[in-house]
Amino acid sequence: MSEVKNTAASSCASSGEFIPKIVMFCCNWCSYAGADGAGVSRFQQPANVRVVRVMCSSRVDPVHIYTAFLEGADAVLITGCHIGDCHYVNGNDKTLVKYKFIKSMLKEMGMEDERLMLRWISASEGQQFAEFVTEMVEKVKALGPSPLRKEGVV
Amino acid sequence: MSAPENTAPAGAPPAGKPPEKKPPAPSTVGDILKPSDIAVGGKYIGWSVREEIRKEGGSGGLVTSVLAGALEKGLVKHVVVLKKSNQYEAVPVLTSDVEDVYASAGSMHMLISNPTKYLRQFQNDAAIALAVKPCDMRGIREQQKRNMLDLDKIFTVGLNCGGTMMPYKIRKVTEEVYGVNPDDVRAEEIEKGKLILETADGEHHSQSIDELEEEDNGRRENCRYCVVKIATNSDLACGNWGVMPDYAGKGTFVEVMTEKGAEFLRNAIEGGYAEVKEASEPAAEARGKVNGIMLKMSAKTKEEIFVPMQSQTILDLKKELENCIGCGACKTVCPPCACGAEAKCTSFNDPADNYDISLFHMIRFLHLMDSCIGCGQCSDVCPAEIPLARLYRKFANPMQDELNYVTGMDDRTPPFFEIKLEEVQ
Amino acid sequence: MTNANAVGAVAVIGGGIAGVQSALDLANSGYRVYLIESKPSIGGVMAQLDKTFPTLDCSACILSPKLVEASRHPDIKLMTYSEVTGLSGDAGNFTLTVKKKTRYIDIDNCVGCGDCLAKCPKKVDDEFEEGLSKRKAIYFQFPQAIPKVVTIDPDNCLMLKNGKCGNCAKVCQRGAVKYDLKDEFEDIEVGAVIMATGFEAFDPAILESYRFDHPDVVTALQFERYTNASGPFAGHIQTSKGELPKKIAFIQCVGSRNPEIGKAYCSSVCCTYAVKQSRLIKDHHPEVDVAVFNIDLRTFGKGYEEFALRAQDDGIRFINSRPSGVDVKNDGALSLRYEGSESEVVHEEFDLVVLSIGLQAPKSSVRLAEILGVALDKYGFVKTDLETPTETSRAGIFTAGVAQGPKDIPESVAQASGAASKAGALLNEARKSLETIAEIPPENPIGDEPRIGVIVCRCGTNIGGVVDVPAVVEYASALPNVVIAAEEMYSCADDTQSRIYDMIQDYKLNRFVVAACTPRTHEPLFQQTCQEAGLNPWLFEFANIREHCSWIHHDEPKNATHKAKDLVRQAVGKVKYYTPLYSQSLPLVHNAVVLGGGVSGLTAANELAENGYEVDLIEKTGELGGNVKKLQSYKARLDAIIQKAESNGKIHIHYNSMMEDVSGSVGNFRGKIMTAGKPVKELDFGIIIIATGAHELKQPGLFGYEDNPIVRTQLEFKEMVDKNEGGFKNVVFIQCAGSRNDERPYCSRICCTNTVRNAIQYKEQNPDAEIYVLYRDIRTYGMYEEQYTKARESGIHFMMYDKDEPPAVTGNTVAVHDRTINLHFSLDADCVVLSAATVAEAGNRDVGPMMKVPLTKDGFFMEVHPKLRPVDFGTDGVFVCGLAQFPKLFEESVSQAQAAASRACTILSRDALLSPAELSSVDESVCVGCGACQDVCPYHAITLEEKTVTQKGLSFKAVRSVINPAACKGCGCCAMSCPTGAIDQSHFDNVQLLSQVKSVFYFEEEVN
Repeated sequence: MSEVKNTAASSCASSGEFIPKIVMFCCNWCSYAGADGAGVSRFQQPANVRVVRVMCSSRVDPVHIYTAFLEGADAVLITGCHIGDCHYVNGNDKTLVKYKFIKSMLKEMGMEDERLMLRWISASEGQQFAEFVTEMVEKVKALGPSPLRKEGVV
Repeated sequence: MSAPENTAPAGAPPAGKPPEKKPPAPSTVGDILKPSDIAVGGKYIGWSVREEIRKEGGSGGLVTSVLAGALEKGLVKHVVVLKKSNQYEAVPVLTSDVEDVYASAGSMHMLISNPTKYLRQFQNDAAIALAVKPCDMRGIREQQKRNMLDLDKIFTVGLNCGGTMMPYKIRKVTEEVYGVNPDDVRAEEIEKGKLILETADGEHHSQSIDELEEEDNGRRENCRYCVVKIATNSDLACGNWGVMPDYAGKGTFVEVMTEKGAEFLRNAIEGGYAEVKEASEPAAEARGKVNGIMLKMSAKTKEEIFVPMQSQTILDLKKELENCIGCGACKTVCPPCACGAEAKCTSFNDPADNYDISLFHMIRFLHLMDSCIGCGQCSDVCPAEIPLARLYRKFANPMQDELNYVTGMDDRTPPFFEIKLEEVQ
Repeated sequence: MTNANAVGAVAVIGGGIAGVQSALDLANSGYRVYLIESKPSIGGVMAQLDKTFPTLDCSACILSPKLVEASRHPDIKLMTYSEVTGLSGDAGNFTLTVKKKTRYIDIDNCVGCGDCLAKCPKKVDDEFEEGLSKRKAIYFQFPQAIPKVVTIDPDNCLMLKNGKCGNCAKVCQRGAVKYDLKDEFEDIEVGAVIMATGFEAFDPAILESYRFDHPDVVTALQFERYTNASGPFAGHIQTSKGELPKKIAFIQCVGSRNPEIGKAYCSSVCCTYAVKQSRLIKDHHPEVDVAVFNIDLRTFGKGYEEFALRAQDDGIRFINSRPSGVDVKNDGALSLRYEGSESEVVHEEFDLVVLSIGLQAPKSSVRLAEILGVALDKYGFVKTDLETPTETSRAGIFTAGVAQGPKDIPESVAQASGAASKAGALLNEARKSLETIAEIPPENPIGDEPRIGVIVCRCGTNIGGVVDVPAVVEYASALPNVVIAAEEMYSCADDTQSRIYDMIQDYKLNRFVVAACTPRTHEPLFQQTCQEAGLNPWLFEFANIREHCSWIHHDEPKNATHKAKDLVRQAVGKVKYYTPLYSQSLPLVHNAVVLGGGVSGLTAANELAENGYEVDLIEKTGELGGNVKKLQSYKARLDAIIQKAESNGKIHIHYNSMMEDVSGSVGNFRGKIMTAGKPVKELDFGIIIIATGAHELKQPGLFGYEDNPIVRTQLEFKEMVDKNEGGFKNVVFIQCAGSRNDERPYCSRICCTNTVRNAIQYKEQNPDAEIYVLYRDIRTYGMYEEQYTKARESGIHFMMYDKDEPPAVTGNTVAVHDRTINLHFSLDADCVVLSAATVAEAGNRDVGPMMKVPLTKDGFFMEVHPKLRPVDFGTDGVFVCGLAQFPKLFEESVSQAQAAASRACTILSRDALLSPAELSSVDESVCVGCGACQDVCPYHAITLEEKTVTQKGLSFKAVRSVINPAACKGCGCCAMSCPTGAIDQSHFDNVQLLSQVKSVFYFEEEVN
């Protein structure tokens, strides 16, 4: 890879230490609000997660998840309202069904299936959000880079 | 008639001729049945009333006569028949001519094309009848779940299937293993685990199927681990397993699976096309036993093939797929795939992304997890010779096993589209 | 009733959930609303709650969207931190004087950045956290406060008190802190007033025996904060020593059912909230012992009994005893004194004691009632009549929620909608006279190439203190398609909006990105700015670099800056694929259908007609009145309601009729009215209210019913009593006959109240009669508790039996085991009255599927959300009220019927239906009609239809998915389920989301 020109990026990449990059899908009504709540309460968490907001976790297409992995995500997290609390009646139930499939698929592909996680986080669970992020970053650090991660991606 | 009836591999009890030392056991009891005797769930032995059909159609020509009766009496507008282009290949043809139906009588073990996709093109508002292998029917049912086919307008006669062979491969085998010119072959037969070829000079050439398969010269791989051997998903499940010695070669075992099946069978009896008798208990048992042995063998093959695959890594997968040229043939032939040319797997697969594994395959793997019927056509058509069927099954097996869901057999909503999976709760 | 000169505005006093609901209903029905709240933020007590029963929904999650909606509504004017000080005029034309207390903050300049909070030196008890933690003297009432502006607490501010400090003013870069501001008074003109002033929690300090002074004796409201993940202990239940308590006791009826302290009523909610809190404890710590000390367990609401049963399964102990007190031992340990099952005194130690405090009228309500001129009852709740549960003693002033009496959230919300309907009907002539009509400037042509502008907000030090904002701006400027990037100190400030406006014009921008805080609160503001600048609001995208970045990576500025760049790149990656979106205007039929001619159906029809809409009322029998038509004591009230309906020209009553073959969706339903089995009318209608009622269980053999002539049901008995018939000497009531059993686990709610009422009535007619009530728990909630007390005082005997040992009726004797005193009795009876269960109509099973609405397993209609949308369904335009939803009393049916009408008015009052802009849509050339989308859509918005499709120049007929924009809510699950990608959700479409995902990743070499 060519020389690093960007200071912020180099600070992360140049040390040679593995810095996980995690894509997280958050439903607008619960988990995104939970993430906001974590912010409001200043629950500190590692800066490895990039949130993609969707209206409902059931919008998250396997294609989005695969793309994230193929692009080089070390983990993909999906979060939504607790079962029974879905803003759209039963979106999270449907998410759960799809999740089961994708999880099984990753496993069969020979990836660590922990790289995909689904968690229900409500708007008031800022703490849980921060804990989940922290826990996942630790887990991914232990797993090491995703086998699909391309060299040089920051 | 078309399609394989008795591709019983080695080890399976011979179907067709009586064991020589035992006295013949009665396979049927009582009299020729009246149309009103036919009921769903009933198991019968039947045959065509026309002698030449009985002769042509290996086991009594019942299937041919039911189809002919349905066409002539107007239960269906068209019948899909297979027109042989040679001893090894045939093309499906939609016909309204009963002579075409009679002409198609006879067994064929080499056929591989799954008619599901043709049916989508054939079917208009008129009712169609056809004979199907279990996997054909599984494809039809999966398409029906996706609103692509209207099962009310399709009448299917299911045929027992122990497996199929690739025409090009059997030609090769004929030449190389049997030492026979493929164009001289006039008939083929499976007996006592042997594949017997009859040449124009009347000579019989035989080889053990087991041995053939050891060299991958036998049945297609997916057939060797297929889990549906009797087409109980069709309207009438027919075949010669369970045909006891007294009727061997002269009768077909038929189980009526649906009300529609009963109606068609009654029609064939009423119209003077076929005769049936009640199948005896031992006959039904014998049929179950053959099926059981076949399934056991499939399970063994499944384990042999897929257990080692469990330890495959993502690099192995990448390697398997690296020769893909992106032609999309696997998707085009795929019986359960309901999508048109433009689908998620094709439209999001941008080669410019240069991904380690093509998104096309990733999406296909996922979509087939709950719908793959294991027909194996993807492997057949792949110009890069990627063992796609094996890969699809690798992903589909654990999910279908876990959900206890056999595609094309189970009437549940495709699990991927369920709101709540029972098993997930 | 209508007033031609009425003012088309309503003042709603109280910004709790009831007030907010009234405000939203009215504003959505064409009225201007002033929502007056005395606290700095709207939200009320519900904002403090952790979870809500029986669904255990997160309270904040379900409340916040309503609060945000209220704050954004163009026709709702929030007047927070304000009090009503005067009222003049009459119904239709009131003038209300409102004191706007000063916050010492120029609220137009405060952007809610909170920089001032950090510098304030004064810490005081946080009221929102019930004193469990501290806040500053300058504060937000709670983190999600609406409006998000700070308030200075003058009693604690060092500057205001001593003239020293002034830190907040110094640190505020907006100059918003102004210590010399004064209270202001404003007169507002309104046609009606709704008093939704809520309650105060009972202060247990006066009940000294409960030792509220001990740090481990807490109120239930405090305990809400204990379990709340964002509470002072982050959801960790702990004693004052910081340990997990091993044993927790709940003491019920603290400040309720206690005439000695002037609280003779039942607070209605405490039993179920105690069950909820107990279950939350058990959820987290199954090993903790939880005991709930109660007199009767009153879980009478829909699903509440089942909820309590699960609590029993969880191992929570329910003890039928009211502890006489809490003893503090020498070592500080807490011990409860109570009567055990053998009438012995038990002492049991607990680590934490939760007092289930009751609801009481706010002290301020006396003064407010004087100003408004409305009568209060002796407890300070607003006085209403049985048939007019939302009307105060003064015309034009309505009430809702706990202001009118203790009740839980669903009933408060229903009553709030009901009050809105009454106010709306009163002011019908003036509807829409003051409605805001938004003027949308013409849109600039957007061209082909994305031209993106980016603003990166410093938010004072909130972002700027952590993230290197100039570096992010520089980075953003270099991204493809970004034409201009700039930083702002406060991007949400007014002056910034004009700069954004100029930027869009000057640089001919066709997309815009703001990197600042959360879209959940600020997106509409910037969308509006974009719109004013001629940019379609859906061409705007937010990057959240505050909540999701600077605030949570405070100690890693470099990583935070790196992430902020990623987030901006993601936003740019997504926004460039945005396209303009527009709401569709859909036609709407402005009339209604009401199914059922009982009290609920009649009331709903009357309300709708008074609000100006035509109603077809469909009654399956030959007469109106439903369950109460045979009862003499309700005759006058019922006749009045029937007379009103019959005389209103807008109401068309169909007897012996049913509705069949309903098709269509909100605004455009069509159905067939069948009268006596024949179709008589094909009807188009906009909404439908299901008020099909329920009936009393008449189960042969139940306690000898139908076999034994002395056994009759409550309604049969009531009919006799109303006629002063009977002459029985010994009457035995058996409660829970057919309810709360394995077949029907629910509590039928109304039977206890009916029993005590009927028993008193009978006792008054026959003073010598001996009356026994055999019960499991007496559930005379709210003010009905007074009747229970009265019944006991008048010599009616109450005996508690156990579920597993029900009374046995043989001939003229009733055998019962009184579990309280553990004695068996054999009672003489010449009349046995069964408080028979209320059971759902079998016909619901037909109506449900026809209207695409669900039923509970007991066959009642299942509203879309049991807490905040008690009369709505997921299917828009269909509403439910009365016993069809769940058993309820006359007055509750009335207020719920009004609620259903009010909700209906929010639709019927519009000129046309507006679909949301971010809907799903179908590409017919890609769709194969497989129906996967249809199966997953929770709103039945997708149908498969035969269409003529043109593809590659060929036209043919094929089945394709069709989305009904009136029903689609934009969740996008169809887009995910579609195997072909033919369905996509606009604004979150596959191309946009994939671009956003891909933008997360880049190679080092791509950076600059």
